[in-house]
Amino acid sequence: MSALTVKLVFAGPVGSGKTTALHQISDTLPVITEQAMTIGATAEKQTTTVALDYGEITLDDGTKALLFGTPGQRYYDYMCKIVAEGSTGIILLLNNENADPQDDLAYFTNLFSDHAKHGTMIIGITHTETARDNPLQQYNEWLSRHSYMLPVFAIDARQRDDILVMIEALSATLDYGV
Amino acid sequence: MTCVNFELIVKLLIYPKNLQGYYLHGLSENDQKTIASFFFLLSDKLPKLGSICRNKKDASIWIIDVDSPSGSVFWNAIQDTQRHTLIAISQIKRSDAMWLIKKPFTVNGAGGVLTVCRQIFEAMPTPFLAEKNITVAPDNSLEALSQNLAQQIDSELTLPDGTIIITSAIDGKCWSNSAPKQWLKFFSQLSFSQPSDTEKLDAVRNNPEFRVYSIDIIQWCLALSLWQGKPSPQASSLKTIQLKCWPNFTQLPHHPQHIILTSYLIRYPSKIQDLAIATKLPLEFIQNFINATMASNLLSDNPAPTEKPKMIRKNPLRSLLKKFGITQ
Repeated sequence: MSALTVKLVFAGPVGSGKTTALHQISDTLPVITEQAMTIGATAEKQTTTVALDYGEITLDDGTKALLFGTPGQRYYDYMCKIVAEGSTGIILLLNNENADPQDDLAYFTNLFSDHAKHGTMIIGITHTETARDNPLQQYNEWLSRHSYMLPVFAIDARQRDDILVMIEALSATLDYGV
Repeated sequence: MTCVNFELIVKLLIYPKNLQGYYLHGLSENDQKTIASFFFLLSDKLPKLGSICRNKKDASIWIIDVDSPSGSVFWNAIQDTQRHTLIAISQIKRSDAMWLIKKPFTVNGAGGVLTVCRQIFEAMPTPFLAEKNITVAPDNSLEALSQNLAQQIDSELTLPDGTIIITSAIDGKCWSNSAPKQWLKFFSQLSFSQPSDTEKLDAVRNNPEFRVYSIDIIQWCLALSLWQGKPSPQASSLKTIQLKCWPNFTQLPHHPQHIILTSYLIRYPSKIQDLAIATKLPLEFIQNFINATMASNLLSDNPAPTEKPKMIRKNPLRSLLKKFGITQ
């Protein structure tokens, strides 16, 4: 892969919106590996990614930006690490309604510690609509305590504009000091 | 030159309750006379403009010729002052001066004096010319909104594109018939603002055309628009600026350059002049952004020194953003 090939990886726990987000920006119909959930299925979420999702965006010069979505279950971590290798950036999505989203944040910043340390990670918090007060505060405070300067946004994974704002922020982060 | 004079007077009349003291330090006799002419020319028309003070303790604005030996020493000694507005006079651009009057003054008759007046006035931070509580001119919708928000009065706003926004201070929310990202384009031209009532609030709550948003978005837009490139009163004493976290740009209306500024300011504590050089953005644009981040409580209390910014390297994501029509 050329040094300037764009490779973005959507990561995060089950139900955080990775596949949905990837769908919003991929030029092609993404290749997905969704299977029915055997444990933890809900009315809203009955399938989950078991291998990886893949999409593409064809750039003006004809090259392709590669988009990958990782599986959410932690026992697929080895797969996440393989997928993330050589990536331009990690788009980490966290579900604010999960039991302990702060633990998810700690877990994934540790899993992708190189990207977190170098600032090539951006965090989107989904399902914040019902949150009281400022839903981002707990995440920003945790990151600050651990000396990370990563962008955190409240997002709706179904909104293309939200995904683009995350990519804009990731790009600006690459510009300065990575 | 009549035009210049008119412009000055209009600016000052927006803030009719000015009463400032000005202390001059390190100026040559000629330059002192020029500055004195400025006050003399305008004092009869603007009796509340303020006056030059002999004692620096009586003055809230200190004007210092930093090119003179005594001015230079004085300037360095008072850099940490938070209580006074410092205006430097110098032949060169100074990165440590928030406000600068460039020398030499060229005074050729009355017209020349007025040019200097303009130079001096434009170097002054307009918000400082007001008292701490801004007097709201009835036709200034942005300031009326500002006061309503401060006093927790519900407001009804109309933007030139037909956007209607109703704010509820108690709920901490606002309702609008258009998405916030559309607001910024017209917010500075807010055409109508008035206190709202319960009936209107109930009507928009039940109107499917109106969606609910956080009132923080209004605060953000207001702070970006109200001060027109000058520091807000809260941001006036800032010297070194650092962001403690990112603004929530998925919800806050923004320009792409706001993301660039954030990316820089989150890593590198900077003075506004240095930031303008590093990002190649106009000072006024940056100041508006600082005002907004200040109003949203996003600035760090203790900017920590860091290493110098690294060079911008080739960024592969630019081609991707270009594909989506976004240029940074």
